[in-house]
Amino acid sequence: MEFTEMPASKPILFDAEKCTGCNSCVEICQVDVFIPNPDKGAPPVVLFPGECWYCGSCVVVCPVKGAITLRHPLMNQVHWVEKSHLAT
Amino acid sequence: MVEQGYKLPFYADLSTLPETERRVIWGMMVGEEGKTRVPVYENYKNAGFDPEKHVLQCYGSGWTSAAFLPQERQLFGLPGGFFHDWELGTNIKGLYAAGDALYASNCYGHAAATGYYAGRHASKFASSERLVAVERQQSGKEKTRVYAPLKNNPRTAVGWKELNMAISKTMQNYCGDVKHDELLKTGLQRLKDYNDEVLPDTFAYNPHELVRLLEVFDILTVSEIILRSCLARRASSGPLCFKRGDTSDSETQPDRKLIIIKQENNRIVLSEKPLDFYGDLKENYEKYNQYYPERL
Repeated sequence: MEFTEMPASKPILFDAEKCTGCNSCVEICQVDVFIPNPDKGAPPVVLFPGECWYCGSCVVVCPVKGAITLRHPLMNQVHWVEKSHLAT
Repeated sequence: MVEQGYKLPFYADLSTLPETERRVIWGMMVGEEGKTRVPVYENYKNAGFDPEKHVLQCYGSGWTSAAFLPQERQLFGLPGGFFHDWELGTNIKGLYAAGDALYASNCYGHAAATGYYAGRHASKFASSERLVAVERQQSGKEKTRVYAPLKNNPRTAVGWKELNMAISKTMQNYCGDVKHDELLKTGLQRLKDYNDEVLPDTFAYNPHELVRLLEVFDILTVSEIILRSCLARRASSGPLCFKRGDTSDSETQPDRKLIIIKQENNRIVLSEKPLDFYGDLKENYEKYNQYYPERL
């Protein structure tokens, strides 16, 4: 039985259908949050999600658009509205 | 502003800017500066954000640089730093300091200017010195210290977060807004307990945790330095934001001084310097800064 703990945030998400397991994101990450997946070709494992500093280098270097997504933790996400909907 | 009729929340509105100015902010700044290219510029664009139609919500009542609680101390800028000479050299020959490490440091401009000033003097020193072989005993001793936590029992040892928070709480409790000798000394004893009993029984599961644990060991040392420095300053000081609660003496001219602390042969050594120890600014800057390149 494997026990785990919900991390403080999950900034990196892979689309396993699109990811080729090239590990370019693993190489480029400035804070080494990834390790290659033991299954060759599968998406890397985000081993240290708490260390991610949301630079986006992994997304920029990824050769397949949409294979990797970066998002800020909920508390950092800025909201917007359509200006015309604001009361004047 | 609310009294004047403005309604909360406030929004960042780029919609009425000239297009080139709008693209400087939403494009050049958000797209090419810092770390907002992917999580903000690309993600929001893909979610439908259009700076001509949409406005970004600002939070709370406005931006604050840093809001500290009374028992928290701000540790960059004013409070202290390495004591140095006109070459930005320290008491360790060949070791130079720049930027936020300096006493009364300031902003990026200060960091950049002192960085290349110290760099020039450091390189002048280095070019006059002979490179010696690495002292294996010295580097071996440091390696032993750095890897020691990995030998401990992870089941019972303390992690970096727990020790970090304990040091932080100790400083807030005993080195807070108003200083008292008895509290400062109690704080020192608490830190000594952490150093003697906790530090040798810490553990790190991976390189990330080990680096942070080593940083916490340094935070422990810096905290001791702060407590001892506070004990050495007897009078309150307005300019230094330093308040003493166990003496009613107001700061007089003799109290206006720099207090320097160092460790020598395992003994704490304190000394003092007048505020104007550096002499004439213009004369000394010319003397130590003979560097006027023909073109930058």
